[in-house]
Amino acid sequence: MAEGQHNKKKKSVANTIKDNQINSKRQKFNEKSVLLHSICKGSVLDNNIEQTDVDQALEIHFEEEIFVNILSRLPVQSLFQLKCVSKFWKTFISDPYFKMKHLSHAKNDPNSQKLLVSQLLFDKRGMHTFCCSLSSSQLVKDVQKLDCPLNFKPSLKPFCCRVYCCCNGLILLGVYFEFVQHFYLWNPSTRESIVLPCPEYLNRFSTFGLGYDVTSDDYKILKIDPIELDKDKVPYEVLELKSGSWRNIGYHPTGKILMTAHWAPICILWHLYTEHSIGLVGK
Amino acid sequence: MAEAASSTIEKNNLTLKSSYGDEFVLEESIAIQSVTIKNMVEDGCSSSVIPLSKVDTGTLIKVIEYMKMHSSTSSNEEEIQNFDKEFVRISIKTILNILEAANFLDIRSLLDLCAEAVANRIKNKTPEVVRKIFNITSDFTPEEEAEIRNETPWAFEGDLDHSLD
Repeated sequence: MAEGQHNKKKKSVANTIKDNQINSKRQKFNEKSVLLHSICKGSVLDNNIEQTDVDQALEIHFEEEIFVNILSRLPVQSLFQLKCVSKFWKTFISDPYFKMKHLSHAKNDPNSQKLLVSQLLFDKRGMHTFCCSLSSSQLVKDVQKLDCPLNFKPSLKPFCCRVYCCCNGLILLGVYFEFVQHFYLWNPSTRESIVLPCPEYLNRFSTFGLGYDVTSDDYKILKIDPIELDKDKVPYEVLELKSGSWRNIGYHPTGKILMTAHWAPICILWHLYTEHSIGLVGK
Repeated sequence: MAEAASSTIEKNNLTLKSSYGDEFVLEESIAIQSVTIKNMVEDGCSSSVIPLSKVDTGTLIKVIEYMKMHSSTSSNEEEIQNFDKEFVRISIKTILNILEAANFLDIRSLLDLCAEAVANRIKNKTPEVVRKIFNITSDFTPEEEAEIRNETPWAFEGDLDHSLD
């Protein structure tokens, strides 16, 4: 009997805890819903506007994370279109937090991995770039021509182009106009590019690496020169995008450096999309 | 002894109650795919009916259907994949309801399945159609909207889907 009563008591305590838990969870849920009701905030729908059944019944009370979960699965082109939906959507899609989430989703999505192919046109002095899916079933049908930043300046006929490296969907290009090399950071997904300053010391065999530094939230480009006969050490230079200028980081041994750059045609891997370079262009 | 026996019985079945008041009895092993419910069970809070005031009956039926399939030991991976494909062949409104319920109940795989389905549905839709789906009216002036379109005209090229579902 005593045991039974004990159980009963335990149950009622348990019920209270459960109710409290549900209530607190529910309350939290409602709070979030109210906060994030702004996702559907444009202006209130006019009752006179003709609606379909879908519109009338639907109320969106999404938490931000659900919204991120849906939108981070969309390709860049769709996101650019959806900026037109409302001011809130435009701000949300342009937000660095969302861009970061979109990038990390793309990195984990095998369908976002693309192959970049560039082809130099020696006779016409230009470059064609294409991308295609890495998935074998789509390899052929999914080839897409990209608008290389060079194509925006048709008056400048490049003598030669190099695709050096890529990181987070950004591509570092070296372009020779006559004998002077210019550097571009290019985001094929957003079709944006910026011109980078030239390093102080440069020869035609210099090679580059591009990486993202989490601690400074900045992209960095490292320049390394190959061995020179009369020197056992050469200057290394780093460009931090936020600072916008090259910094000499001292002399280091060269040894034999594997050249990652090639003369066309070359293939490199890149991830589909980041709107990251929007931020870069802004700075 | 009595305590052990009663806890065994309690563990077997749980009762979930929809916002319409309909009750559904479900095996605990199936229901605990929901992290929210699992936490309640672990804390010993699941002995009576679990009210789900955010989940209507139709949505709860779909969620239970999903949980049953995904806890079934007799179905292989291919069967589950086919089930998932069929599961989201419903109106986008229903998917959004399930998405909300999956978030509340904390069922990660169902949340991702629905988010993917919604993304696939709105991927090629015009901004106008997406507004209708999410019940939004634009707060841009026609000039402001034209400006956004002019920033990236290439993004608006190609055929877009004007249908609602």
